[in-house]
Amino acid sequence: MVRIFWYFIFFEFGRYVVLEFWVLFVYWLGRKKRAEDWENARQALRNEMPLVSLIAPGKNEGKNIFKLVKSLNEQTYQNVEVIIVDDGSDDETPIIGRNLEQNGLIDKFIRNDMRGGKASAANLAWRYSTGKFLLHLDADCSFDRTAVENIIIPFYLDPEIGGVGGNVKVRNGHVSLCARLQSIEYLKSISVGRIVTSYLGIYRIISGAFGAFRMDALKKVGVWDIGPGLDGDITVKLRKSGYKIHFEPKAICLTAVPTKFSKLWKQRLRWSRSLVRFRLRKHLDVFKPHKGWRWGTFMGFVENVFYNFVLDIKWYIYIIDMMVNFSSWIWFLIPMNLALYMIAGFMQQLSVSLWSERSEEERVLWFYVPFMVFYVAFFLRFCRTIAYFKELVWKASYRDPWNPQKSSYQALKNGY
Amino acid sequence: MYVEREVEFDSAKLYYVDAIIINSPEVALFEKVLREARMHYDAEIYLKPIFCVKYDDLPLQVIERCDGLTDVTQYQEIARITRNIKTRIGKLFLQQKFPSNDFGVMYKTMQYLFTRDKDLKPFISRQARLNYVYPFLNLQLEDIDHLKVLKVLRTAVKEGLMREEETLDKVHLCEDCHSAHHNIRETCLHCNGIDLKVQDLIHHFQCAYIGPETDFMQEYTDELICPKCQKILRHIGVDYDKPSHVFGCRTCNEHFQNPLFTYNCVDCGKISDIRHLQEHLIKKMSLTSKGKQLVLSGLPKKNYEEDNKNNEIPGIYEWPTFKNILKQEKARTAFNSGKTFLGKVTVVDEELNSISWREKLTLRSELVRVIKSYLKDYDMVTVATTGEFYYLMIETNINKVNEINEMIVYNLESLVKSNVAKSKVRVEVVSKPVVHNEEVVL
Repeated sequence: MVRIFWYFIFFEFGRYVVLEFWVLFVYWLGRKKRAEDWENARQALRNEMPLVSLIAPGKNEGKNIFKLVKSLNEQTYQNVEVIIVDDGSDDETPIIGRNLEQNGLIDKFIRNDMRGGKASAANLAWRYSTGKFLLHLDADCSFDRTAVENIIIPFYLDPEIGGVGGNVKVRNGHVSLCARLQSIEYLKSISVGRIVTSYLGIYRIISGAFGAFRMDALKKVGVWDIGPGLDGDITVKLRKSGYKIHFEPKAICLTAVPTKFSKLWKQRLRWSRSLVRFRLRKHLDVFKPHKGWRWGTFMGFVENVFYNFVLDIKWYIYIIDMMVNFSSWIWFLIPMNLALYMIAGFMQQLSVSLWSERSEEERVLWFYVPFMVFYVAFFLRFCRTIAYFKELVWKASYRDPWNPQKSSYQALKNGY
Repeated sequence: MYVEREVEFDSAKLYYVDAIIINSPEVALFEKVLREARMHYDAEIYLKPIFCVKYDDLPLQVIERCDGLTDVTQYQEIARITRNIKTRIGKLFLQQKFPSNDFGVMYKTMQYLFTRDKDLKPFISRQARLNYVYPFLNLQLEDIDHLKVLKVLRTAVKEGLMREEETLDKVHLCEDCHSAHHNIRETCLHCNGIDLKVQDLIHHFQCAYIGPETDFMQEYTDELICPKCQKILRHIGVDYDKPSHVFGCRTCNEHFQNPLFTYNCVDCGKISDIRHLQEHLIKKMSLTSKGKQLVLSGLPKKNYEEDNKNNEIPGIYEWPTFKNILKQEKARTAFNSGKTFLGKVTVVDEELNSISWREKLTLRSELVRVIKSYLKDYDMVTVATTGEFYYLMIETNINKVNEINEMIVYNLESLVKSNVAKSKVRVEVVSKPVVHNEEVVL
């Protein structure tokens, strides 16, 4: 049994079901202490009421800006400045942005006539931010009324926290099967998965869609470097500089995800390439002991590289192992494996339902859990494999049109 | 009439001349003559040809508003023009009453265009609050009432009397005082300060840092060094580019990319967003055939009689009627023992020039009502210009005349002082008996 299902038992079930349930249980036990600390931190925040800079860099986000601003105006925390950077849009973004600025709905609208890439746009917004904390937002996101307040409070829980990641959920899940599957994926990997990694101290990506940073910490690490994957990169930079990273499940942001598999494929290729570029190249020093080396950062990297890169290769080894050594059992193994993964999927969905504040609305997702097996096991795995291969062999991320060529060329030349 | 100096110009003699030739580079003299003539109520005077002798640097406001420039020795051309104008004036129906003041202005302008046989082409002038002056028309309304110029022209077009020709310019007028004189400047979005400094933004490709040029500038060298990665930026397009710019306010230290464009009105001091300026098109205008027909045949009676009925006061006459009555009165004195006196009332006040055309009209009718109130019903009054009135007292004596003159002086001065701010009005009344076969000179 173990010989046949070793991959599932040791790596998948052990990590994503047993470990997660255990951590969540321990996390649940500490809820009273956490609630007390939270209340004290909230009081500290309310006493100080620091200025918070909300920045939204982006290109061709005209259609989303007004919705974003409306969502920000509804926030319970109001001592904010809103800065929108238009990175060389060729749609109506400049007109909308200037209009919002002139009407006082946002504090600054800054436009680059020439596109410089997401990192430079974020850096420009940072340059003109005057808040004590900075929130990096994606323009196509909207926020719960308490989101801004809830993402700032953790800074008052622990002064060593340099960055806080928000809980990003899917807003357009109802549009297509592709979006539904991503809804489940986000709930598992972000809403619940990051509670676990944050608790274990190995939380590794403050999402670019909704992340908060201490302004002095950003300055210390030299703000954002060229992407793609700049959100993961800056999180590592903060960790390497000695800051703690925290995930805040109560700071909820809704984002729009790709509704077609073709678009999702491109997005995931880009995301996956960044694992090789940043974990295995730029920040390889995390694996070597040095001044400022930290266990948490190291383990986060190990977990990330092992579960995404190593196990990705191992899966193919497992398939070959089964085909070579258990070829006569193959018609039993395939449905059995699928059934096991489905059971694990439902168990994870149960943990999601227990933790989610929107479990009623998310009940419909139970129906789609069986499809997740195919989505994760095949779609995402093949996508990752191709991305890793291309990045390892051809450094494909430096040719990604997501960044302007002028920046990518310099990044490649100088090892960024 | 040949005018070289102001003292040589006598508006009373305008009836007896064919044209006026001004031989002086002084704009003030030209303005005075033009005003006296063109603002006269009598078509014979306000349509009188006015020429100027050529001088170097004669301003546009003179060249565009006179009927031609001439050489002191070459009068043939202006004689021809004068003849043409006179011939055309002869064809006009000399309308005296109009349904409204605005219509009167429009009608007179149409008469002017017809007699000159040309289009109404505005010329640019820094003196005009609209920045453009329509010859003849502006003078009728005065620059204080400059927006009315456009209104009158719009009405003329609407009525089909004039047509719009080419668009010459676009003017932007202050939302309060409608002046086109304003200073446009970039102002801070946050404090409305005008002390702004614009800087290029520099984007360092290698590390994605982006900030204003001062972030990269070194104090003692000309090098650009990235504040994030300390690399030297050597080559634009290779190491860095300048994707945009940013304004910094030196008053409040705020930064922004799109300053507010405001205007400061030179005339009324209003400061506001330039989007509040009112846009108007300045067009050349021409007379339509309907317009020509109107000035040739006059207005149908019903158009204005009703409107003017309430304004009529017994004993107040138009100038031509008054002149005819004066002639008859001269003839009558030969057979009558009672004396008739011709009086001239002059209201001298510099401040009268500062009030609007509409206010002038109101004041003029008030003044004439006051004069008439001291006269008998069968005595007659007429208005020559805003500050010049004539009366005819019939069957009276010198003592009575002097007594009435004193009262006129006192009451007119009081009236003007109470209506015109800072007025230093002086009212003079001269009266002489009307004698058979003798010219009365006042």
